[in-house]
Amino acid sequence: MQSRVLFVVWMAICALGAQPAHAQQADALKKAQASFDQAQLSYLQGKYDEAAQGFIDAYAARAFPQFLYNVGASYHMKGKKASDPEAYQKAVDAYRKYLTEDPQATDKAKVEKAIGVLEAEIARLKAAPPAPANTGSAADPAATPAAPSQEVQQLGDVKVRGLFVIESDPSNATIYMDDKRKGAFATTPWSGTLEGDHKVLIEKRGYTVIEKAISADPTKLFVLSASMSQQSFLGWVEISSNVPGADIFIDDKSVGAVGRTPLSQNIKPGKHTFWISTDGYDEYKQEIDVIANEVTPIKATLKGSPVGKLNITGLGIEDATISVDGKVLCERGPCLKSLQQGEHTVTVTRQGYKPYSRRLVIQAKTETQVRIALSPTPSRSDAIVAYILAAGFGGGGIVLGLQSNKYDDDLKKEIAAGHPPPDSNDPRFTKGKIFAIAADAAYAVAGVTLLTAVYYTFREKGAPSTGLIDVRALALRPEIGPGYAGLGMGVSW
Amino acid sequence: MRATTTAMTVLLALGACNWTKFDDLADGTWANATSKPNVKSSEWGVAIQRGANAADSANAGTLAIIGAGNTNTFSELTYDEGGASHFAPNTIDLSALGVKTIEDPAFFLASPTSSEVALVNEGDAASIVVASGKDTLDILQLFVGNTSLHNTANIVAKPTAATYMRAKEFPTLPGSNANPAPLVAVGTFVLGTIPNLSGNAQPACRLSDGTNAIDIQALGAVAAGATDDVLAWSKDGRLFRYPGDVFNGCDAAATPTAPTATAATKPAFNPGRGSQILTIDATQILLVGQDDDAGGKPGFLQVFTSNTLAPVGNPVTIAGLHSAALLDVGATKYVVAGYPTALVGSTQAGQVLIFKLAASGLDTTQVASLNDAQPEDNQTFGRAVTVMPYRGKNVIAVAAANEIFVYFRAMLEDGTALYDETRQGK
Repeated sequence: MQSRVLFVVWMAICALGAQPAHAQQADALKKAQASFDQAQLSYLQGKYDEAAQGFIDAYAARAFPQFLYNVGASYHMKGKKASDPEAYQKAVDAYRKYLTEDPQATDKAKVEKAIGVLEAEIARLKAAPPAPANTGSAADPAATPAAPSQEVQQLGDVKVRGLFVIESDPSNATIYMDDKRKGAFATTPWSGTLEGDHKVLIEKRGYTVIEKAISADPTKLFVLSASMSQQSFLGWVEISSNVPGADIFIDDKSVGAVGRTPLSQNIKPGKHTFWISTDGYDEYKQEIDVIANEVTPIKATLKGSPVGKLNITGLGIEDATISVDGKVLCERGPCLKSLQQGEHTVTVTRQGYKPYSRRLVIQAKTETQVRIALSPTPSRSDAIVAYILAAGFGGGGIVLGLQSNKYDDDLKKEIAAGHPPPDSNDPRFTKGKIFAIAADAAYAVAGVTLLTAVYYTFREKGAPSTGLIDVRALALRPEIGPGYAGLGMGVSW
Repeated sequence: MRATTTAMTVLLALGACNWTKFDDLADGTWANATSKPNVKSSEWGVAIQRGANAADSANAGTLAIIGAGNTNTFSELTYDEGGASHFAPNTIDLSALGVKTIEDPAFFLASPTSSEVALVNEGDAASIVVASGKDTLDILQLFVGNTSLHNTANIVAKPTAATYMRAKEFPTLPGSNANPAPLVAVGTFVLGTIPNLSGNAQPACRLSDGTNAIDIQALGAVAAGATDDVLAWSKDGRLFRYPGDVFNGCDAAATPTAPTATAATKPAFNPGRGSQILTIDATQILLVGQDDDAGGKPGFLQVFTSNTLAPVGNPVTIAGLHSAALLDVGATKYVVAGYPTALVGSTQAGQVLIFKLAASGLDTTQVASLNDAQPEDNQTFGRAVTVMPYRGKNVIAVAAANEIFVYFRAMLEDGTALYDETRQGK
């Protein structure tokens, strides 16, 4: 038995005390929970008939379709263990009833498949020849049952399911799961399978909002029953858009979206500003005077604009600045922004790294992802050394050249003056020549060194920064949710 | 990148130095300096003399050079019409020809009538060697000493003076004076170098002041009709003129007699070895006095009349005079005097001073000076000077330590030309 405890959460929010109908429901729920608990225990002990009966009783107390599935599962396992066609038939009947009660069941296909397999197995078992006559006995309790067919084996062992039930009084309240911005989850009453920790929000026009943190176990029955009190001083807005899932901002955009379309909620009477926007569409804005106790519908018609998304990611991108067409798009990465379709120059810069720049064509309804790998900026010390050497050689060349020119000038003057005239062996001719040659050599070396320095300055040293580009389509796809249907945008590739 | 490269190329081209301009400049200098070529002498250029005379120098010039030191050599430099020097392949090893240590200054003479030059120096085996010739040298050894010559006079081997002269015909040898020949002085004797006479047969004679033989320190010759008279400058400073037949009466087997001077004077300078008597023209001579052995190395330059030996003008007494030559540039004559120990600035590099000659004598202030434009200590610039005929003109040649300078163009200190460019195409 361990910790198999049935939880019943009774949410008596209303301070006015229990009402008779509500008390009746509570009793039925207790009875259903008791039956569910006993049935689950029997199932685990292999007492499939008792288990099935327990789930039937639970269903009788509270007609949750999941109970019917568990009835089918109990009989399914009984038939499998004993190759009992009658048990299989009961399982098929229970499964069918389950699908009838919950035509939108998420496991409908799986259940239908199981029905087909079990019906074939029933037919196979009924068509099988009777036991041999020489056994001497009409029935041998110790006889080994026929093995299930391969198809039945492939279905595996079925397990009974837990159930999470959310109810409210009054019913038909909107359920939000975790975050209102995700949109409406369902309306009360709702039952289904949940797993993990969640925050449940239950809201109905003219009633206070119920908010409850839950921890769901898929093997247990969990019932959340909310009794909501009336609030007559609030107004009620019903916000919808032609594009479901659009973000809704009320009065102050800086606090973030309060939810997504469609959304209905209480709101204080008075003037309010509503913004509704989503990627790929122009923003919708409307100012409305909300009146207490009245329904104020807001129907936003979002007009699409040709935009695509640019998604810049990569290692170290958090320290990089992303600019598009010379304007900073994101102070730091990663950067996911919408851009008008067309050609854009994307530049990613990071201190100490080579910049990455690339012209990209952003297409409408696509996401262009660029995964950046920035390479460190190499040291230019070699260029600096080369510049210094070039300057040194150049300076040396100038000094030598000036000295050579001085000899040239002196000799010219003395030759012209004639007293005393320099002779052809005057050492200044040789010195001047040597200085001139040395100056030219220094100039040549300086020139070569300077060219080298310029080359070192502008050469691509080390690996360049790179970007891996991936373009994905942002397709509009049908979306159906509790209380709405429309087109949603998703990414596929 | 391309623009940067182009800009740098232009800058380099602008900044580049044309080193060949120094070759052009060196080619355009007024003076050609030739360093010692491949000759064995460690002291090349202790004496220089014009090689070819004017008649043989219509298109070029030749300089005869004596080298001393470890090996005595005779070599020649020829200067082409562009002024470039060429080392002639006729170097003669004088040491192999019996020439002993060459004294400084050497007696290196030029014939007044031909391209012949003559070196007079002490020789081996108690002799005086007279090496003379054109391009090549003939050796005449004058054997001296107690048994030498006919007169048995005790003559030492070191000559004290020499000059070219055309003596009067030797009595026993008709035609002996066809060409001028060196006259050699050794103390109180003068020795002949008469062609066709052997060294032992050459005449020797004393020159007398009327009473005693004079101790000769310089010899010169002045024309006296078809032959020359002899000028002698004695060690005690007296100047004499003797008739050209100084050997008459001093011929072989005759008792040497002393010819009597026709004129005498007493210049204010006692000449040392190497002093010179230069003939300016038919009427004037120049005494070039030096005395390296005396304290302060006194120098002396003064013009005298050749007939009466009267002084003309004032002397130049700048110390350190070592050699001199006469420069004739046409209308004017100059004295080119070498002072090899003179200071140039603070450098004892040597200098050549040029003095102007006039009918009134020597201008005692130099009109020009020459020195190495990059003077060096002990360069001995001007230790020998001469005037080289070159392409119909005369140019100054100066010897320094292992270097010969020839000035193809020279300027006076007043900015006028001493002589204009003599080279072709310059």
